[in-house]
Formats: sequence, C-alpha cells, structure tokens
Amino acid sequence: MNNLRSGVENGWARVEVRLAAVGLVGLLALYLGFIGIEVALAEPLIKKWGYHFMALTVVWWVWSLWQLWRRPEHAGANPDAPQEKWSRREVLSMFVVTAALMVSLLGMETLRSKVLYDEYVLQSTAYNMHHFREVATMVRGYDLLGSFVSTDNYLDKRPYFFPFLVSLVHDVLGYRPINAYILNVLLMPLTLMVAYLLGRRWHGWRGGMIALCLLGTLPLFGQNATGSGMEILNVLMLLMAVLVGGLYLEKPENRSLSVFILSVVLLAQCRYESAIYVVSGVMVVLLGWWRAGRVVLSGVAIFSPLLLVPVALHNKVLSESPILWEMKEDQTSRFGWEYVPDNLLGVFEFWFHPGLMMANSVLLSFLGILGLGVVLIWAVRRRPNLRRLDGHALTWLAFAVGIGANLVLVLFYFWSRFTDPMASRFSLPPYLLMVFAVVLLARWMDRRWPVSKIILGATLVAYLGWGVPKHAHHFYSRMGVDEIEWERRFVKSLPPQNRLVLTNKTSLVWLLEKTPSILLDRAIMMEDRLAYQLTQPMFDEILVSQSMRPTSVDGFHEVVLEERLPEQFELETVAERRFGTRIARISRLVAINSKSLPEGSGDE
Amino acid sequence: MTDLANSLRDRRFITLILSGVGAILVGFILISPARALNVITYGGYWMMLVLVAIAAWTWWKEVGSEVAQWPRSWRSERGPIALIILCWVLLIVHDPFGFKILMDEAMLAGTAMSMHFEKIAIVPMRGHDIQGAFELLGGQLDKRPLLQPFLVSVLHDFTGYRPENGFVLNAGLTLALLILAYRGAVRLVGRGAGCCAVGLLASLPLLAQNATGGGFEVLNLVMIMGVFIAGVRYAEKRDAKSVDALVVTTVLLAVTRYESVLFVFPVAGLILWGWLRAGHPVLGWVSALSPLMLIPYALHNQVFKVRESSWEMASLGDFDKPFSVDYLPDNVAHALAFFFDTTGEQSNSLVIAALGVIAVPFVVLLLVKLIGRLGKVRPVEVAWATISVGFLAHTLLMMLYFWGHFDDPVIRRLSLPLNLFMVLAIVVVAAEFPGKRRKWWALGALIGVGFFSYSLPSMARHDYSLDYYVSQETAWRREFIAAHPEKDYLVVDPNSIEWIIHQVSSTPIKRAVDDPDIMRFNWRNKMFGEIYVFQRYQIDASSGELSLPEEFDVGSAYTLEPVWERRFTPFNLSRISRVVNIAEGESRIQAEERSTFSTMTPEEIQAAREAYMENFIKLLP
Repeated sequence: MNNLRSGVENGWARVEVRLAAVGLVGLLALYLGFIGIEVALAEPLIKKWGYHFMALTVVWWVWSLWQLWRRPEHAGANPDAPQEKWSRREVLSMFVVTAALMVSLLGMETLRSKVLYDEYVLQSTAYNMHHFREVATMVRGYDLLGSFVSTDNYLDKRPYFFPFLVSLVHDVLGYRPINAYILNVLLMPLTLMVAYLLGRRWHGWRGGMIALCLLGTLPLFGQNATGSGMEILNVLMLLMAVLVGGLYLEKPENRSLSVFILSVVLLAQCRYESAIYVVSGVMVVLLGWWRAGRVVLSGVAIFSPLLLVPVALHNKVLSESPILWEMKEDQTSRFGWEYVPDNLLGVFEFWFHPGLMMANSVLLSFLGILGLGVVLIWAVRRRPNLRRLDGHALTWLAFAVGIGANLVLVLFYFWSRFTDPMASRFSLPPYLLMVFAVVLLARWMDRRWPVSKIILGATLVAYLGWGVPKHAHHFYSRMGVDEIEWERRFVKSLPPQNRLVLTNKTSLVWLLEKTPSILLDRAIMMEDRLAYQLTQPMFDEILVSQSMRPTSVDGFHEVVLEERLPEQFELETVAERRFGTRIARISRLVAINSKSLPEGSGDE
Repeated sequence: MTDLANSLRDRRFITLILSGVGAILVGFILISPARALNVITYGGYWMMLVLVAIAAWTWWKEVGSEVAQWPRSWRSERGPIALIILCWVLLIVHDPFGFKILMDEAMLAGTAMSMHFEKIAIVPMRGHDIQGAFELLGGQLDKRPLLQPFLVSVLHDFTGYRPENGFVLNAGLTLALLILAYRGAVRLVGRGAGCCAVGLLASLPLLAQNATGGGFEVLNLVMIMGVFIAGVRYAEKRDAKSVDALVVTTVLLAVTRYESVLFVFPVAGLILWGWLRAGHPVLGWVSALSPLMLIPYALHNQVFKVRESSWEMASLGDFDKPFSVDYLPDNVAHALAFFFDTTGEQSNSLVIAALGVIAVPFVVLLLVKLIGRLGKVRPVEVAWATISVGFLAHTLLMMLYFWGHFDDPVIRRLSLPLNLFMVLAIVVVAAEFPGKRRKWWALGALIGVGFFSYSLPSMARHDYSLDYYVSQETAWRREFIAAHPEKDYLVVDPNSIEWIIHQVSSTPIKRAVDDPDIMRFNWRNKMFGEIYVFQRYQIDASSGELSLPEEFDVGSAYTLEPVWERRFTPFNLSRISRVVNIAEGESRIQAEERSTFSTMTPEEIQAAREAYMENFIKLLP
C-alpha cells in the first residue's frame, strides 16, 4: 500500500505527468466551454451552479492567499532582493492619506448608482444570489404571502464575481440595497493600499505615495468607488494579480503560482473584457518557468482551465443573445472597424478634457502618457534583457500587454466612446497603467531632480483645483440617476402601502426595494389585469412615472409619445419635478375606463 | 558702513529689497484697481493656497524637530489641558451654532462656497440647478479678506460642502485660541498666568458668540496669538527659521481681517530689533520674499477704491470719512457702555473689563519703561511690547472709525482684540504683584466669581444673540430649508445670498418686480417645484396693522399664500409665502404656433429641446 502511495506521489511529482494532466484538463475545459455544452444547457447551468462554482473559486483563492501570507518565506519576496523597511511614519502616512481621500470622496460624492442601468442589474443579480443562490436578474417580482419572490428572471451578460461578493455582504448584514455601496467603499482603501504596495516595490515610499495619490485623486476612481458597479473590484483584482504575479516571478514556486492563477481566474470574472488578462496570466506563468529553468505546476494550475469554463459558457450565452447587446437600431455588430476612429477621438478628448464635465484627470493623462512614452523609448533603445528585469517589471510588462489589448478591444466596441459617461469607466485600466508609468518615471528622474515631491505637490494642486470641483458637482453621475433618486425619495415619503409602479425607466430600481414594478409597455399589454387590480386591489396604489419634454423654445412640455398610456388610463398627477429640460411626472392610476377596452385584451 | 556692505553681500537681504520694490510696483502701481479685483477673483484661491502651504512648511521647519517631544510635555500639563477643554466646552455649548452677524458671515460662507466649487473668490449672487448640480451663475468679489473663506473651503474639500463647516472651523479655532493663549501667557509669566488667561477668555460671552458663528473673528485672534508666539521664538532665537515663521504668520494675519495689517508694522520693528541685536540682517528665504506675499492684500484692498460703498458709510447716515478724530469721544462712550454693561445684553465680560481697564494703563507704562532699557530687555518682553503696540494701534483705529460703536450688535466683535489684549495685560500686571502662587489663586477666584455670577448666566441667556433678530431670522430660514430638503424651489428674498449658500435658488425681490415676465416663464414651465417669497412686515405699535416696506413688496402681479410666519420682534413679522398665481401678461413666448410631438419629427423634437435649453438658461431669474 505504501509502495503504491509513494509510486503515485512520485509519478505526480514528475513534470511530464503534470504537464500531461494540465493538457488533458485544458482540452476538457476547451471542449466543455466552447463545444460540448449548448447555449440552451449553458444558461440554466450557470444560473443554477454559477454561484457555487464562484464560491468554490473564492474560497480556494482565500485559502491560497492565507497559505502565502502564513509562510511568505516559501513564496514571493526574494530574500536577495533589497527591500526598504516599513517605518512607523510611512505606515501612518499611508493610512492618513488613504483616510483623507476616503473622507473627502465620501463627503462630496453621494453613495448612489452612477452608471445606468448596470449597477441596478448587478444589484439585482446579487439579490437573487443572496436569496435563491441563483445567478439571475429579476424582471418581475411580487410579494407573495409576505415573501418577495422573483417571478421572472434571466441570466444577465455581466460577470458575477461582484454580485457574488455583494451577496456575501447581504449574507452577513442582511439584505439592503446599500450593501453594494458599502462593499465598494470597503474595496476603495484596499485598492489604494495595494497600489501603494506596488508603487513601493519600484520606488519606496515615494513610489507608493505617488501611486496612491494619483489613483485616489482620479475622479473616475472616486466616482466608481462610491457607486455600486464592478469597476473598483476589477481594478483591485488587476492590482492583486500584478502584485502576486510579481511575487511568483521573483521566486517561482507553487504557493505563489496558485494564488496568482486564482487571482487571474477571478479577475477574468470581474468584467466582460477582463478575460483578456488570462493571456497575461499565461505569459507570467511561462516567464516564471523560463526564469526558474523548470516547470512549476501546482494543483490549482492544473485545474485552473476548468475554473474558466463558466466564463466561456457565460460568454457563449451572451454571444447568442443579441438582445443583451443593447445596440442601437442602425448597428449590426458589437465590434467593428467603423467604431474605431470616433472611439479613438473620444479617448483623447476624455483624457485631456479641461473642464469639469468629465471624470478625467488631465495631470494623470499628461504624466502617464509621458511616462509610457519614456518607458517605450527606453525599451526600444536599450532592448533590456528580460532575465535582468525584476519580477514585478516583467509582470507589469505582461499585464501592460493585456491592458493594451483591452484598450484596443474597447476601441472596436460599438459603445465605448470615453466621453460618454456610461463608457468612461473603460478607461480605468489604461489609467492604472499610466499611474505606474509615472512611478517609474519618478524613479528614474529622482536621481537628478526631486521629481517625486513635485509630482505629489502637483497632484495635490490638481486635486484641489480640478478634482474637488468635479467631485463636488459630479456632473458625470447625474444623467437619469437624479430622476430615479427623486422618484425613490418621493415614494418613500408616501404612507406605506402595497404599491405597484408602472415605470418609464427600469423596474429593477423598484424590485430592489421589494416594490413590484413593470415597464409602461407591459402595463399597456396588461391593461385588463391592471383594471382588475383597480377593482379587486392587491395593490393599494398604482403609480405611473412619465417624462415630459419641451415642444418648443418656449417650453410647453408634453409627455413623450413612447411613454403615453392609452386614453382609457385615467391618471391623476401627484408630483412633478424638472430635471434639465425634462419634467418628470409621477401620477396615480385612478381608473381604466372599461368601455374603451379593446376586445380580447385579456390574452397575453 | 561695514555692516551695510556686509548686508548688501547677503543675497537674501538683496532679495528682500528687490521683492519689496516688486511688491510696491505690482500691488500699488502696475495693476489698475479694476484689474486687481479680477486678479484676486480668479487668483485669490491660489494665492491663499500658496500662502498657507508656505506657512505650513515654514512652521514645520521651525518646530518639526520639537513635535516628537510634545506628548511628553503634555503629561506634565494635564491640569491645564483639562481646564482648556472644560473652558472650550463652556464656550461652545450655550449659544446655538448659526450665522450671528449678517451679512458678514453669509458673505464669507458664499466666498468659501465659490472657492470650493469653482476655485474663484466671489460671493455668489445667482445660482441654480440647471442639469442636476447646483451651479453658481454669477457674483462678485467681496471686500472681506480671503483666509477664513479659504480655510472653510478646504474643510468643504475634505468633508463635502456644508454651510455649517464655517461653524465647525470656528469651534476648532476656539480650542486653538485657548491653547495659544495659555502658551502665550506661560511664556510671558508662567503656568498660573496661563490658566488665568484661559479662564478670562472663557468668561467672555462675545467669544462664545463668535465661537459658534461663521465669522472670521476667532481666526483673527488665533493669528494674533500665533504672531505673538512666533515673535517670542524669534526674539529668543533670532535665526532664519524663526524669522520666516514670524513673517509668514504675520502675512496670514494681514489677510484675515482688514485692519489686522496694522500688526505688520510692530512686527517689522521686532525684526529690526533682532537684526540690531544680531549685528546683521537675519533673514530666511521666506522672509526675504515676504513683501511679495503681501501683494494679495494690496490688490484686494483696491476694492475700497473701486467700490466706495464698501465702507458702508450709508449704513449709519451722513458720514463722509471712514476715519476721523471727531468720532473718538462718541466711540469711547460706546466702548465704555459695552465693557461695563451689567444687563447681559452686551456679550461683555465684567471681570475682563474691571481688571483690564486697570491693567492696560500699567502695561502702557511698562512699555514706556521698556524703551529706556531696550539693550537689556528680555526677548519675551520685546515680543510682548510688539504685540501690545499692535493691540493699541488696533484699538486706536477702532476708536477713530465712523462705526466703532462697541455696543452695536454688529460691531461688538471688533472689540475682541482689545478683550484679548486686556486678558494678557491682566496676567502681565498680576505677575508684578508679590507672591508666587497665591496671587494666581486669588486672581483665579476673582475670575470664577465673575464667570459664575455674570458671564455664565449671560451666555446661557445669550440675549445679545437673540436681540439681534436678523440672526434669528436667518436661523428661521435655515429651519425652512431643513423642512424642504428637495431644494427644487425658488425663493424671492432681498437677502438671496442666504438661500444660495444653502444651494437653494434665490433671486432678489427687485428682480421679481422688474421682470415679472421672466418669473411667468419659469412659473409656466415648472422650472421650480414652488416659488416662495420672503417678506418682513412692520407692525404698527398702536393699531397692530401690518405694512410692507417697499424692499419687500413683490407687486400686484403675484398672488401669495402665506405658509410660514413668525414674529421676531414685537414690531416685525417675517413671512414666507408661496406664489399661487402670477397674473397674465408678457411671458416671453417666441414661437408663433404651438407644436405637439404627434406632428414633430425626431429631429424637430431634438431641435426644440436644444432651443429650449438655451432659452431657459437665459431666462433663469
């Protein structure tokens, strides 16, 4: 028996066996992800099992991280590499600056949705994950005998790592829509501190502080850190992957490799296009083998292709569901050359926008592009020997390729003009690259001039002069959100009742509050059921939201055509408020005059 | 001659001379008054940022090496620390936080608001929510110096915009003042004096009133004490770091209140004394460039040339000169009325007044005696003499001011520096009495009696705040705003600034009277959830009838429905009414025919939206 066990152990320890295993698992993953499972099966599989698969991955990652943390001597931190010691003053400075940035951001930005309607969809998925362990977004939901049940849902296109984490917060704190914001507020200092650690590896406290300040004062970062979107998690996981990848390349070893691979797997599930970083991850793994002069393969590395199967299946469902692409009528494909020129123009327009209307940072754009340019020129002219570069530089190189590919992909996407408030968040990864290009630039230039101090001073001035007014006004986070928040506040101020909201926007906002809601289109279709509700009320009140727009230079607002209800719907206005040129109106459905009902309207 | 030649070889001395010439050219000659106001409007924020950054850096250089020792010294100061905290709490708990002096504090809050949102130094006169965010659409540079609004704006920057941040700053500064007063008195005399100084300040209801307001008075006192402490350090050390700290603190004091620039002159004397003692100019680079730092003051001061009304001489009737010896007798009478009021209506401290009026002449005598022995004088005495000259000059200026009535509710606060001088003078003179500790206990007991018998009841009643009904009316407006959190309404009020600083759209009554058609356009298009009008009626003493002064009359075009009203004095009724109708009339209709979406193309709908957008921004009140 002992012989058999030692034989298996010896066999498993052999590189060829491990390589064969990873090859087989890879082929299996390819088959399952792209060939073997049809869309019709993929969708229910993800809906039912996605949560559990994600839970398994996250637990594995946390366990691996703990192992790495517990015994750092076996992984990462090359003992030969010179490391600057942490002083109490440095630790204090890092915490104080992080805390100051947090207080400043939370003081000026409101904890509310920033990008329509992404964040509500994520929250809705988290709702179902929390209540039903199901990866699904609500379409309709009703209070049935005291329990608010999702009666109709679908698998959304958005990756579900962020909703999974939100559902965990719900698990711990109880369900509240604010939990998604709390999660992002908690992720914000974590992200800034990981940025500090990475900056520090290159240029001591100066590098750390530059990274922390440049990222923390970027209005786009602050905007997303106070929303309920998945961007900050994406940035954090990207930084984590680089940090752990650097540790792995410093001293290629199983533990750091496992954490690195799991970080990349989770990163791939943070945002749609983050799957690209799997390529960067593979590059880092291979570079590690090359540097170590041997193959390093942990159990996680062997099974990792299987962990990516849900990503492939999810993408398959998305590719086969054009309705989820949200394209305009005149657009036929999601990606295309025709989008590139305008998107490219948008990139530079956004990065160098001098006003307060966009969440950019001109200082970071300028310094970052300068830094990237200098790095590029240095790389071309000096052609550095990859063996002589430190592990972190190599990891950054691999992920810079990923971020570059990400940017190129985005340029081909139909809805990614950075100047559009909905799309500006796509610029976060390039901005991240710029931050560390500036750190590198400062490291080089500090030899001659006190550049780090100048950059830190300029960052403070830029933050006070432009960052603060941007956050204070947050012009870029208002479109549609102000109106939704007003509706929510107004309805909240009404006496508690069983209420149905017929909305002109998205029903998700109300469903998250456990208030039944349907879209106006559906309300028109369900006219007979609504008429029934008015006579045999399950709902004490049916509210209708509509918007009015000006018909001329003089105003004279009218309800827009697509939001008009048939004339048999009798409405009573209860509140109106102007938002820009629009007037939002909330009415009460008083009656549906049955005489006007068309025949057979009860059929669905 | 040799000394002069040596001095001229000192690059910093040459820089001082050149920067002095440059400052005079830029501050007074090269830039026209109108352009100077523009420079301050758009550059004032940045100038303050640079000054404060230089001050922080200079002070860090000066005391950075001592900071690590501070916690150790605090252990031996537990008693005074407890006293300071107790006195601070007593100063801020009795008077409710709010705007105490109108329009001063609202103007400062307005400047801080524009500094935070736009990084420019104007008092916003128009502001509206156009596309969700409240935007400042116009305003003008205020005459008040910019340091306090700048500090409030920094507080906004790091904690978010709240009009109440001015109160938070003042509460914090009051603690700083007590600490500095303690340190100053300890340096002058000793620990007993420090504790007595803190106790005396705590007995001053005027300080309590300002500690819970949004003005710049407490900052002024803090900066004066800062100059004194810096002066003591310089007098003792006479090195580049200490002179830099002294100079930069004095510059900050100069941009705190208009008349505080007076302290620049005695401080210059102190620096000169140090040079004479050292036998050569003692200068750091900051002090060498200090004349340039006074350019913001010089440029901002041009506001009094451009706008003669800034002196507000019309407020009191027929005055034609802001300063004159003729005002002296009357002002002295008002000062005595303030200091020795026993009714509690004057926010004075009887104990400070009674002891101070005795101590100040003695201090003047000590100063005169000091002149005779300048060569042997102790450094701390020179610093004390410097600050005393500043205090005396300030008092003299106030007594020559046309509105220097210390017993006027709006002017009382101008007596704060004199009160602080009296506090320090009392402990300095007390030190001359025989005995080591007993005299301080005796003085402490006296302060305690004054505090509990007069000051504390006075603070508890705070009649001096309540009698000033304008402040009460402002608090009432704030209650209205708190009760209407949506802030989607417009208020027509002569004091529109008070609404605007709370991010509520507001326009003066004059505008509503002059342009009813604009109001009609806004009314018809539901630009605002509601339109309210603030009015102050006068009540006839005999008949009880209400009459509306012209400045509060919106005219017959508006039909009003009262929603809130309150009497703040027996003869005034303040009322907020809702506009329920605006009579038909010209309403700025441009299109000849009415359109409707059913007959419009998407392009026409978009064009209508854009045209309307442009039009409505133009027609906002």
